Amino acid sequence: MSDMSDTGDWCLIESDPGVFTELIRKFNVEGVQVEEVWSLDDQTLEDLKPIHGLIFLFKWQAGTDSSQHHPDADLNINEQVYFAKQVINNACATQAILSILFNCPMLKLGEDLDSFRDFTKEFDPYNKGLTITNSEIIRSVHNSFARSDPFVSDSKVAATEKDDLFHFISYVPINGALFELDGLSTGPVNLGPCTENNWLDKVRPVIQERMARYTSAEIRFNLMALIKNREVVYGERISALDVRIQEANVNNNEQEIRRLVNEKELWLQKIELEKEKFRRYERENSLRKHNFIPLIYNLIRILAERGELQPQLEHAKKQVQIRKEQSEKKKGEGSK
Amino acid sequence: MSTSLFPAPVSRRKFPVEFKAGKMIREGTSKWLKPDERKGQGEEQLMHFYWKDRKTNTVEDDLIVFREEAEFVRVSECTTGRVYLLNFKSSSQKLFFWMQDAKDDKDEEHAAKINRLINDPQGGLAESRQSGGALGGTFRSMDDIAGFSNMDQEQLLQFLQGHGAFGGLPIPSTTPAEPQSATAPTSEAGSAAPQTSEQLGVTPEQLGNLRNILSKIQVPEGGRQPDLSLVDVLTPSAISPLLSNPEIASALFPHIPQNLERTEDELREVIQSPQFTQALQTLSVALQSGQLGPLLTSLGLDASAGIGVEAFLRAIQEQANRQQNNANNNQDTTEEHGGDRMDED
Repeated sequence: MSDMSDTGDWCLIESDPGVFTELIRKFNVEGVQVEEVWSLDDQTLEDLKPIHGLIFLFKWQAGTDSSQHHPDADLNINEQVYFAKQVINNACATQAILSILFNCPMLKLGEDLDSFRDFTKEFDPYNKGLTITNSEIIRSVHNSFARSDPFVSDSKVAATEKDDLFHFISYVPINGALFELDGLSTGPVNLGPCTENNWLDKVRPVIQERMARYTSAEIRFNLMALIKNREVVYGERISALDVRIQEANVNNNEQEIRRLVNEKELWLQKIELEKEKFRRYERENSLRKHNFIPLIYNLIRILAERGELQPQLEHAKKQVQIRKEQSEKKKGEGSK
Repeated sequence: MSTSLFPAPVSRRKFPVEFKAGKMIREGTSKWLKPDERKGQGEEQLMHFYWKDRKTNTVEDDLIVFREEAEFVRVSECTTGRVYLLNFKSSSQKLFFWMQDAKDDKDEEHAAKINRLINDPQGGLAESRQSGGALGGTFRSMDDIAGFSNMDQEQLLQFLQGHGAFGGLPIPSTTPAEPQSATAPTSEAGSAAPQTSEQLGVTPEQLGNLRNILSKIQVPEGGRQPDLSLVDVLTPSAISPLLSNPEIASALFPHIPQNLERTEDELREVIQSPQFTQALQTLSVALQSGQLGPLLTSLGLDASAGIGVEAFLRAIQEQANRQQNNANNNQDTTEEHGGDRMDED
């Protein structure tokens, strides 16, 4: 982390699927979203397919970058892999997302990211990272998730103790090989050959091994998948069903029609759920960005004017006292 | 506040000075008004300060300004737009405006006139009569908002969306503007106008300082919990009953995110959201850190009262008491200031 410069006005963003999804949308990337992955079992992953890449978040520990984690792996700079060094801590969530986006030629990235990728593709990893850090477009999208209260210099920015830093790495299949992309590593880690179909099977043990390690160390981590937009996926399934329903109509196959119509209904419901989820994201994101201080002030003010502030304050102080006593009691017990 | 106490339309008459200016608060679901703010002479030889919604031709704010009671000054800390502050010396009330005439060349002239009228009503009036309707022209056209890019406008909104405690604090520069929402008026001139809620007694000079202090505050993650947190005070059980009061609820609506519904239920949801709790916690830590000392001082709190959450609460209580006393002593003039607070009497 020695070459890590200061935060350079990058806010820290929450690792949340709603945040990441909006982040990507704001880059004008079409047709993708981010989902949290709760389990690595076949069914869970199957439901998320097609998966473009995975992002693994964990608490950063000294000496654990990917090059040390995989001492035998091929770390050569590969011109087919877009690999950027991480120059700024707080940018790492965005950088993990970009690592996937820039390595998925089938995605429509939009003008901004397309031209950024073209502009930087010949750069060495360090300069790629530096250019990301200095990109006004990327930074402004990233920073749009800053809270708008005056304390925006996010709590974690101040955390100079390194063990308070969280770190993201990405897993992406690129040109027939599975890569682990860690901006702190010296290069992209080639985890061996894979295909579009089996890369999830290959990545599973790698991630499980990391999870096992962090679980035993009681370290928080989570896993997210950058996947094809669900509404689009479900829409395609519905279109396919419509074709089959038509065929069944021609053949007058009543039973088949009923079955297909029911199935279509299911996908329509799923689309509704997706819409609802996106509404929820929007709401949560607006709360994340909101400056609550005026609300807080006005609530206090109203309590004050109604003569309720003083009693509430006394009540709160009692609660604090109780809490203190309890924690001291606990401490006392603990030291026995 | 969007709920006007004096919604009566004002008949068209000559005002000593009038100009287009926008209210510096968020209105409901980004319902920007297109008002003009005017200053006129009322029947009783009192100076009135009006802010009118130009679309509906309704006067939303009608403030009586006593001689030398207030000053109209430019907020020099705001470099992204032409923001002026009507600062009442007699109370903590502050009204922010952003100038919306296409050109800024008249801003200072308007400001000077207003100050002249406040400080010397008779002289100022005589002067205005002489210069005739020179200013009337500004009223006609709906020009584009000069000097504001969309981003700046958004930042400005955020900057002063809070007309509560930290009402005038500019947001840190790292917060970019949101992409412009479809509902936000951009090409129509709004006129800047005041907000009628109380502001803390922060002078424009202090705004910049405070902003610096606040933006530098860094709260360590999992840092030491303040002894007393606002989370303990603003508990759901304390707040919840308030929200059932429609008056209180509507006073709080402007302070929740723009895209949320203005309903009691939504308020409850907001107050129970993790983001709200986090905001309470962060503010508590910041208060505890003592770095908000200047803010407490500006609340009119004796510096020896110490720092922390409790001092902050006491300061607000004292402020409320003061304002209520003022209201009782001076019913006529303060009544219309109370757009968002609850008068018990």
